[in-house]
Amino acid sequence: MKKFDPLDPLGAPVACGPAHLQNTDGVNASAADGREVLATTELAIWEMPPGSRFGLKGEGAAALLEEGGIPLPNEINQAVVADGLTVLRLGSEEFLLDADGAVAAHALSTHRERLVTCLQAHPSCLLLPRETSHIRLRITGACAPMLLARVAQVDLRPSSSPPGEVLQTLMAHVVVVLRVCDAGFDIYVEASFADYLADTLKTIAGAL
Amino acid sequence: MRLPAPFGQRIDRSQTLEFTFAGKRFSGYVGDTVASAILASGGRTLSRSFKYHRRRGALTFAGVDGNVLVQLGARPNQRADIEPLAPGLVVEAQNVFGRLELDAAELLDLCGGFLPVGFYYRAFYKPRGAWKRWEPIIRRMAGLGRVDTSAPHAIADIEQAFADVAIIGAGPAGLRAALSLAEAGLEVWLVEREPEIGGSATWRRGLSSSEQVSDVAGDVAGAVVEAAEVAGLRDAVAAHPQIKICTRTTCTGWFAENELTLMGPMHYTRLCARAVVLASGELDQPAVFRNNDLPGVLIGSGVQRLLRHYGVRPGQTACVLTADRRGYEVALDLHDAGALVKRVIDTRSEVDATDLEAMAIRGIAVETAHTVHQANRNWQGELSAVEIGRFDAAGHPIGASTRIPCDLLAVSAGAIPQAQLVCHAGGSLEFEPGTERLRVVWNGTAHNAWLAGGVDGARSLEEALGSGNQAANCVLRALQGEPAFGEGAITVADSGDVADGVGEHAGSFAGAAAASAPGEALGPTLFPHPKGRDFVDFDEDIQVKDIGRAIEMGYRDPDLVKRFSTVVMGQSQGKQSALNNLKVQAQFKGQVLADLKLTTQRPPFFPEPIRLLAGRTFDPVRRSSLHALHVEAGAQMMVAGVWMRPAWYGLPDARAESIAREVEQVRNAVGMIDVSTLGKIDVRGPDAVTFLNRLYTGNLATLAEGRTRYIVLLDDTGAVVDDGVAFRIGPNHFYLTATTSAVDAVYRQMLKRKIEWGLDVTVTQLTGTFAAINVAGPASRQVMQRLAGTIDFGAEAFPYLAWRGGHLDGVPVRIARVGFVGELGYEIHLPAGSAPQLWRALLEVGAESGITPFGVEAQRVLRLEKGHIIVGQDTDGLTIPAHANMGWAVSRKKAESFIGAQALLAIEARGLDRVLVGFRIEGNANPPDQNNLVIRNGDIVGRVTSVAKSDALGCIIGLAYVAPDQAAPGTRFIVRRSDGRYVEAEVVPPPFYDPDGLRQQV
Repeated sequence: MKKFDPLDPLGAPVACGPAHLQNTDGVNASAADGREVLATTELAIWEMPPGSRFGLKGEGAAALLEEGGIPLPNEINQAVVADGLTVLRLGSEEFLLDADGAVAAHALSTHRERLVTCLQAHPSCLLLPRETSHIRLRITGACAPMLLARVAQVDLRPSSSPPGEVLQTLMAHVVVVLRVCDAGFDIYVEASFADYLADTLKTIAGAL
Repeated sequence: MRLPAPFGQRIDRSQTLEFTFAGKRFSGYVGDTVASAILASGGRTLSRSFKYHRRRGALTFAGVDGNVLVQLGARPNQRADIEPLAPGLVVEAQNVFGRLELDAAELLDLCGGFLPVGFYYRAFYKPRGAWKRWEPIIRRMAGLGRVDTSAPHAIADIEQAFADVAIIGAGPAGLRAALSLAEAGLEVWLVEREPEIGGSATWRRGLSSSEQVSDVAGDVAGAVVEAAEVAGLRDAVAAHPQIKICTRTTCTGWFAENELTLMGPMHYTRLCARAVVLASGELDQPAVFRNNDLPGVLIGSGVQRLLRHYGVRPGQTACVLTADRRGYEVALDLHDAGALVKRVIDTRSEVDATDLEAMAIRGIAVETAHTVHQANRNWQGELSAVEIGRFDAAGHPIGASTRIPCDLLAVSAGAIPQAQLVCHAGGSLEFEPGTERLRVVWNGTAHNAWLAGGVDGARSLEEALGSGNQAANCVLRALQGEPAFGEGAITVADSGDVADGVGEHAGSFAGAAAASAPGEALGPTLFPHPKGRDFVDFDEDIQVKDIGRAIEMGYRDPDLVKRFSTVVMGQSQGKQSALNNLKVQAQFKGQVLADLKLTTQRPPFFPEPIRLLAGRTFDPVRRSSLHALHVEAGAQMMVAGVWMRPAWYGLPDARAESIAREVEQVRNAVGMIDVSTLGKIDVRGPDAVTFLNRLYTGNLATLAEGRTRYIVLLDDTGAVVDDGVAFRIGPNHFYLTATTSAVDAVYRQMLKRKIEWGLDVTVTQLTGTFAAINVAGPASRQVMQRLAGTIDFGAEAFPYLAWRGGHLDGVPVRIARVGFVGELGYEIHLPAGSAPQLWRALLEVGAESGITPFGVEAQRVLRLEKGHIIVGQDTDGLTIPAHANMGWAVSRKKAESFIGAQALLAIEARGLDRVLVGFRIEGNANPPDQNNLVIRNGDIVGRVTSVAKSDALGCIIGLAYVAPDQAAPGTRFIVRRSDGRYVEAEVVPPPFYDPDGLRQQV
């Protein structure tokens, strides 16, 4: 029988985050509901709240999610959004799940608890805590494509990357997952790079 | 002289700008270029030539000639003919010794006979070492602009862009193609060097929207219709939402997959296009005759640009030298602009009757089968007259010449396709005997790229628009996956009059039409003069005889002639000299032009400032989740790979004592260090053991659950590329650590091998997901036991090299009893977000044991005392395990062969050529530095890889590669220090400290 491993997907969700990522301003009243990194009339960068974000990877991941009634993108590098719950398909058996809003975050927590139990029977599958290991930056505004064109070599024209598109790419030499959404662009990046990427984006935004 | 409107469509006469040039005050208008404003004020000389310091003026007003290079503040080598005038601009002439008007180095022009081409190759290399004395003098004499090293550093971002179609050149053909493609729903980028779209339609007679065509010019109605058509096209393009117009933007290179580099005034763009239309037009060429470089001699199109763009007439009394019909256009324009056109000198024998009639109506005399043999200069060194006459087949004068005073000579000696970009992409230029012109050879279908307009031989507006439509059709078909010249494909609007399905490139239509038109063959343009100063290349002052001399010396290949003579190697990169250079070579070699190839065209098409090329530097920096706590604790942070890590905790100038204090604390009590930067990888799945055994040198099948083992990764050559620790979590589940700098490469390697080997494993990198803290020192067990948790830290329950999972202070953790520093220690892995909480808890419970955080510097000393190597520092690209005494980590018995195994056998069979040993140096000698060499009998036999002063041992210790016969304990060897002195070291088998490992295994 598989031994209990506290760092496996069986581990409890972590409540606290890196000190430099804590939202010390409290809950922002804006629609973004995150921490403002930069805001101008044509460009805004928000650090979104961590919610109950997690990843699921390994043989059987898709089936496990579908069993829980979570809608999945049919293709890799696509995302679907339903009731504030976003599922990004990063590989055939690799997913990133995120939530916008308290209701969706709660729903995601419930899904996570169910998965932790289910994973006992799926040793090849692992649940990845992403609420503090990664951050999500949301970039919105008319100048957002211009800003991203200076840090990433991806085609973000609406004709090539419509909402729902996911791009796993480098941004300012850092590995990111970029999701095109109706509001703009969501960027998932490891928290250790958070300060660097946010500073870089702010600097370049200032030169636009 | 400034002309009234409608001449000068680009200038705003209501806004005057003051500036200085060569110390004198000038004024111009908003919209002027530096050169147009200078010419409008009567100035003609802009610079001095590269070698002979001859006076030079603007030639083309197209931004392609080197005569117009000036210094603009801190910016050297700026082209005055396209540089916009700005208020208060300080413009300096370049390459001047003294004043622009009185250049002391002009003496070189008098003694040019002593300075033949290539003279400095042969004259200044003897006696030995002489070149070093001459070089700075020659460089100073031939220098261009002045680099201001104190100029502020400006950062320019590089933009990555994508488009369906990129169109290079916004002349009529480019405009037509852009509009057609945009109307078909494609996203189009239209790239134009000039500040406005329209291309030649902004300056050519009959096409400019501000046209002033005299009523005796012939086809007035036709001209008005054409101008209106172009104006309508410009407006439609400018208003179309699918077209992104980039003016003042130069396409500098065309690379694979249709990646184009676009250079704007302040930024650089890499544009990837699904298809390209090159509509870059033509470049008018100069003729070769004596003194063809005098200020006052201009290319005909340059005169037309001056008239229409800036309202500047560059002379009062003009002659026109022409080899085709274009010269007549220029003559008409000059006449309309009020100049006295004294003569049109046509090098052809047969001339179009309508041209002669147009000249006759205006009283302009035409001399056919004549040329300008020599331009004469006045006391100011500028054009004052031309001497014209007949010429023989070689272009030499025949009979008497006639002197015609004039202050302007407009030259129309044909044009070449502006095809540098298409040559970057694999195209070429070939000579077309029927028209005496160059044509582009290009397979558009193979590249999803087509030519349109003048670059493809179109001469008239009708031809240009037709070829634009043709190219647009080809693009549409190609992007829809149909053969570009197939039947039944969709066509763009207005394309009914365009020939379909022709030739290997889109514009064959235009080229074919031009070739068959009567009187379109170019007349002679090469007229060498016995007295020389018949310049082929203005940039480098290369004359006809210089090229002849190169060929006489045996440099027959055009590329060799280029390199010996430097022809076409100057600032304009042959844009004004490539064709004439080829003609001269053909003449000297007795070959026909069609047998010669142009020299290779390479990017960039136009000089690119390093500032733009460099772009913004991205230096990613990672911070662990404990970063803020380190800073709060007074850590001096250092960059280790991409991570910020504490070097030591203490004041910046207290490095040595801080490190010593931290080392002592770990040795005698307890310390803790943030090792979150360690690479962390999860491997699980039915084939996990097989997978890891094929990757790593050790046998992980024998590793028990709950245990850890040191692991080593080799590359295919057997070299050590990484090491770490494997935790066996379950039968088919491992958790691995890797070195900070190598983990990304290790992870990539794992993903690649997983696919290659077809094994059922899931590999996940967790470096950023988990943090890690190492608690080390004799009191570490007590500290760990004080934390509330679920793990038994007793020596028997948690032995050396075991790992345990559980909770500490409510935080889920995975802890291994391993260590890098040689003391009892615990490496705690935990979710990154929980690390600050546990760090604080450790400080709190460890206070009574005197726990202190320690940094990377102390860790380096501690690990060296223990003799642990750092992969990448103590190993290099040739280090196999046996070199570094790590043979024990290689399993020879396991079933799987691992990466590098075969190479190890081969290398070991040859015998080792070096060995990594520990050494000590007694006394108070200065220590050697890392990478200082181990010397024996004057030969290098090794190097120092690590060195430190150990307070615990009271001596200098280190690791070094030595010859195998120097590896025995007690052997002494010599190290040459950085100061050149030698120091003796003694081989000591590591570990230096606690050789039996009792302290860490307690």
